[in-house]
Amino acid sequence: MTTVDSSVPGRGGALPRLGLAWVTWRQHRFAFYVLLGMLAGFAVLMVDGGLQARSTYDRLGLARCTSFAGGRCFQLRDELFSWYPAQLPFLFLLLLPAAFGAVIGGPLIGRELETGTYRFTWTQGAGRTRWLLTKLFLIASVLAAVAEAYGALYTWYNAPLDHVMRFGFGDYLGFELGGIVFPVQTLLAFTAGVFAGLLTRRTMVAVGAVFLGSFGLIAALVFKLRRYYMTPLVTAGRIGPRDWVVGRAYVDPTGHLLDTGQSHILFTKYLAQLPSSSDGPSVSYRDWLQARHYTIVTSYHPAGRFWTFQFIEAGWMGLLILLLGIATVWLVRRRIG
Amino acid sequence: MSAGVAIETAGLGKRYGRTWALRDCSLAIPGGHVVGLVGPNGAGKTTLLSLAVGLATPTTGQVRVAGGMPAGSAAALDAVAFVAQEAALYRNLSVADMVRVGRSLNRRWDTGRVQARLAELGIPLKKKVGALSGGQRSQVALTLALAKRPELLILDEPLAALDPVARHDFMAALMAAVSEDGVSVVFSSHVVAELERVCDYVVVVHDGRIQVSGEVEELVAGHHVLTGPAEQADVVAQRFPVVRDRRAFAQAHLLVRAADPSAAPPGWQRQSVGLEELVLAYMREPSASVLPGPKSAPGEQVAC
Amino acid sequence: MDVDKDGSPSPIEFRLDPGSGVPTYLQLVQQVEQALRLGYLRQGDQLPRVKDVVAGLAINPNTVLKAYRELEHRGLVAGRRGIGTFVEGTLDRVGLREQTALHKSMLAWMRTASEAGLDEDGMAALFTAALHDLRQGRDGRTDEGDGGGRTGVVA
Repeated sequence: MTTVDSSVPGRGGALPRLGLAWVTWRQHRFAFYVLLGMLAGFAVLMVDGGLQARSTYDRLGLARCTSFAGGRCFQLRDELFSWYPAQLPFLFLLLLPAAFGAVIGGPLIGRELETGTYRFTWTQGAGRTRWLLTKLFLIASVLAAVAEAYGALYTWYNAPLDHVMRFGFGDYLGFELGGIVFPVQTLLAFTAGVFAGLLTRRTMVAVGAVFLGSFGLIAALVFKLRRYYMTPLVTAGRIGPRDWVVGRAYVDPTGHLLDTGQSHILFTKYLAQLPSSSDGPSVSYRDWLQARHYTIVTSYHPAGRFWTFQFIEAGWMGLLILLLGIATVWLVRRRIG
Repeated sequence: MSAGVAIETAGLGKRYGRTWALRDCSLAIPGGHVVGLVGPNGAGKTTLLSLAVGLATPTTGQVRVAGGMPAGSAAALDAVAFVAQEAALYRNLSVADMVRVGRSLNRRWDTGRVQARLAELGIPLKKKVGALSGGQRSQVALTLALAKRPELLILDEPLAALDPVARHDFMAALMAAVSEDGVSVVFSSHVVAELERVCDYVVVVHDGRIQVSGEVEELVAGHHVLTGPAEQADVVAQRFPVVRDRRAFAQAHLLVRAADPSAAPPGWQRQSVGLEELVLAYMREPSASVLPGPKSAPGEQVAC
Repeated sequence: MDVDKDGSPSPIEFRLDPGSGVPTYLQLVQQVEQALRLGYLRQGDQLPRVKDVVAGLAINPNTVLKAYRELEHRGLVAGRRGIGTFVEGTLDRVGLREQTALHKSMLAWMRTASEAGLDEDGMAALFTAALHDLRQGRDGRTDEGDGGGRTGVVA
């Protein structure tokens, strides 16, 4: 009537193959389906849009242009730009690392503690360390892959526009999605979510706090902090098309640096002399200044720093991920009854 | 199968923040018993069991289980099964999936036994664990615990949430497992009345300390109630350790620790006590921290 | 958990009276003796398997083992390893005639006691005490093992 499963050896045997992986899958498959569903929706959007963008690009004949500084190519470029839908909707992509990380990381331990199920799971033969490491590793892998897929899709979709616009590498979503920081940000939010769930023992508190915190951090990085990773270069000349301009200052003919107020007054003067109607000949601000012997000083990060910046960001975040991971494992191991 | 100790502690203590949930506890529960761990709510029962299954780590001292394995070690996790309070299972999983979770997390798993037991209990495999009755859920938890074929089975308040029928069925299933496997059982309960039928060993915890620990037969044989005239009560109290002292102006009932209270003054009536009465007496009088004398079995001692 | 459905090999089944104050193992012993006296159990019959008793009554298996050991000690049953416990001896049944005579003399004693002013409970207490003395005189030991009565008077 009762027989020991012949496929399972006795004491000192091994755990069932892929047993822990199955547990992870069973507990998180719903999240996985949602994740995949969202990615699929996004993919449809991006592939459809990207194909249309390419046909528009071909139709306009932009491939024949070598420079977009002026003339017909400049107009064609604007035409392509206006074909792309407003870029604002894609700012939601900035939310994704925080959202995915918090929603999937928060409950990982938090829910086990909240509902008491850890008392079942952590007293089984596999032990809690193995259980935790398997879960962290598998889910982190999936999250990283999904995040990277988002990045790749967006980058492909945006490639025609990126080709003609030549944005500075730190402006725009190119830096978020074109390198390795997007998955790393996602993993950071995920690890923080797991850790917060462990500390608070409340799933919703952990999810909420980590989502807001991670998004705040990413927004701060994008709009304020990232530019300080390295000291910008300064030049009085022109900068390359992909260089990231982080500051501009004006030097008057006597060699004095203008402060903000003075710069503003200067710009107002420039506007005042412009012809009132748009059809009259106009002069660019740069030419107007040069004619009056002002110098423009630009601080910028050269385009070649793209990967350096990627690695700096991935580096410190990776270190934080590692520390949070170690702290989580340590706390789980020596916990808390 | 269950030679050696079930749970052995030395100088064990656990502190949460500033309060000691369990303190300076040395205890050796021999294997092969059904052990009732009793005490009022908050006495430290759950803490002691958490330490024994390795969910909590001791602040001081150490715990060994199932014949000397450190609690929570890989070997101990294989040999010890735990049924947590309110049957801590994944309620959103079906019974079948819950079983598979158990199988996936253990080196040793008796699939045939699980299937047979669930079929016998008439528990539908497709039903969600959360949709089962409390009694069924406890039975599933017990089934999963027994599927490991553990040497030691630890249960934290397994009866607390069950109605009388479910309690009976649960205990019957547990006792059947004991008779089949010879598994050692330690379970906590704040209900004393059920103990007498099932336990042959009892541990009383009070306020983070072990108050009583011993075999039921020895405890019962080692205590008597003496009834006699109140004016002689002090004489009796000098001769025997008194656990409970009830006096009116004429008559006194003294629950004393003595296997043979023939030294009582003539005319005093003696009555044997039941386990329930004995345990309640100890729980009511924590100050009378009378511990049973040294045990006959080697290595079995109590000093808390 | 119905024992019968498992195909219990025994002609009898145990029940427990939790309020009786009689230790569980002794209740089992008494029920086997009763069944022997009343003819429910005969030589060669099997006692309920420990597993079945335990599953039916939710009691500690050691209790059942203890009861069966006690019965074995009294020479009524014998355990066969791996098979079960079987009835070996019989209890001498007291003849009907003898029983009637004893009943009569007991009644006479009770009338005397009643005339002396003893009520029913008093008689019962006296009977229990006397029974206790009889038992002590017979096997020359204290009743610490709890021979059925839970009350005794310290000598």
